[in-house]
Amino acid sequence: MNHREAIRSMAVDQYILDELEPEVRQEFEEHFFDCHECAADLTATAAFLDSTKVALCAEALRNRHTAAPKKSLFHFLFAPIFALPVYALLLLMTVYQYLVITPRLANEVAELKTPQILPVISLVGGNSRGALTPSVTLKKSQAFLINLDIPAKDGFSSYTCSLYSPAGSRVSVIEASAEQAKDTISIGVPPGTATSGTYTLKISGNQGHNSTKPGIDLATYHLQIKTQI
Amino acid sequence: MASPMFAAPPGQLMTGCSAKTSAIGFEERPPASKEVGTAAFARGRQGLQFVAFDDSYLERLRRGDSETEGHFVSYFSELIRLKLRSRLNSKEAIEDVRQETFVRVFSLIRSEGRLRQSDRLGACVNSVCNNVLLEHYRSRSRAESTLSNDADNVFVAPEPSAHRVLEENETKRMVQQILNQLTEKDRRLLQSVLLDERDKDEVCEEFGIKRDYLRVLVHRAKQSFKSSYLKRLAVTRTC
Repeated sequence: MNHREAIRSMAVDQYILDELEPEVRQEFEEHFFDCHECAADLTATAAFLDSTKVALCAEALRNRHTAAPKKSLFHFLFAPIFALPVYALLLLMTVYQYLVITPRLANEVAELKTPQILPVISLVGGNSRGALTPSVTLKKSQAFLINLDIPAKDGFSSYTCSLYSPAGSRVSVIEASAEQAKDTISIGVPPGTATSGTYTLKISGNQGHNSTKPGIDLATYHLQIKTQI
Repeated sequence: MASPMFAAPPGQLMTGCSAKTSAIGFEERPPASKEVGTAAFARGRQGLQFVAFDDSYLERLRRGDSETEGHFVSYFSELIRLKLRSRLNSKEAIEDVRQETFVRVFSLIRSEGRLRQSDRLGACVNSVCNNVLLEHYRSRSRAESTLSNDADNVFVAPEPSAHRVLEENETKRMVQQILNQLTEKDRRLLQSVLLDERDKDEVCEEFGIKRDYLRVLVHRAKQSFKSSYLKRLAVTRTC
């Protein structure tokens, strides 16, 4: 092997990396023992790789000491693939609440503060046989009043008025004292409580204060509610 | 460790290795004794002068000039170690072969009519080293010990000189600078090959590169280091 061949084939680097075939290695050794340039290159390359090994070792030790902390059990919550859709959903909910829910609530509160004439359905006199079922027409989410005379009797300390929906579920309940039952009472039904259909109002009497016994049914009224779309 | 640096002093021609007429090397300042090999090397570089492997050099070796001997041993010790480190597993074995090589080479030099051509010094050392190595393989009946991690105090002074410390620090700084300029992939590649000592074919397959890539990477990375390293060796003065 001559010097030109050694340079062309990067023999120094191949030799240091132990990539030369045995015969070629021997030829290169014969060469660099006589060639000052290749001997210097070989020495410098060996020194470089030895120093690089030391530097990489030190770096590996430093990296081991500053290794990333163990991931918590819930680290996946912060992974983009999970976090982004969640954050987008939260943003959407916030915007909907701000643009839709809050103004609606504000309007409802404003309506409650504003004096208004409420529709009234009168059950005074009860549902006599053959009479038409009392009805009331409401605007959407409008409150209304039910006027009635409770059939008060002695022995009852209070009376429970329960309003049932057409489906049979109780939508509203209010208690009237014996004193209040002496006169015609007006029950205010909050807005949004009723939809179109025939409702049932049951009156029951309660014996004694804090009594655990169920009330005694005293009267049942039917009322028709119609809501405007 | 001592390394030769080559430059032509004023008035001297750099013939180059193609002519094989002379090799120019560094000569150390005179060591305290005529010890061959170990002691001369252990003293380390204290000063450098340009010399040529010419007839006068050979004559000084024959006469036992300590300064010339020190330089001769220092220069070829490095090359012998580089030759042997891929062939022998233990530092002790490398040292044995190195010592025996120099013993025989000096015997040849000082024997009448055995070595007359100064330009054959390098070939002579290499040839003798090969023979000693062959004999070592043949006579290897004892279990080879693995490379020891203990410091080789034969070659390294227990308290390195301030100059050596400065040189080592400068070397570290240069190497770190070069590593910082490499890509993360190249750094991991070097780490896999040099530090983890993994099989090179396996590493190349993992990184999706050819064997040439690694060679070119080393070749390019060492360039800036090499010029500075050899320049520093050239301008070293006695501390």
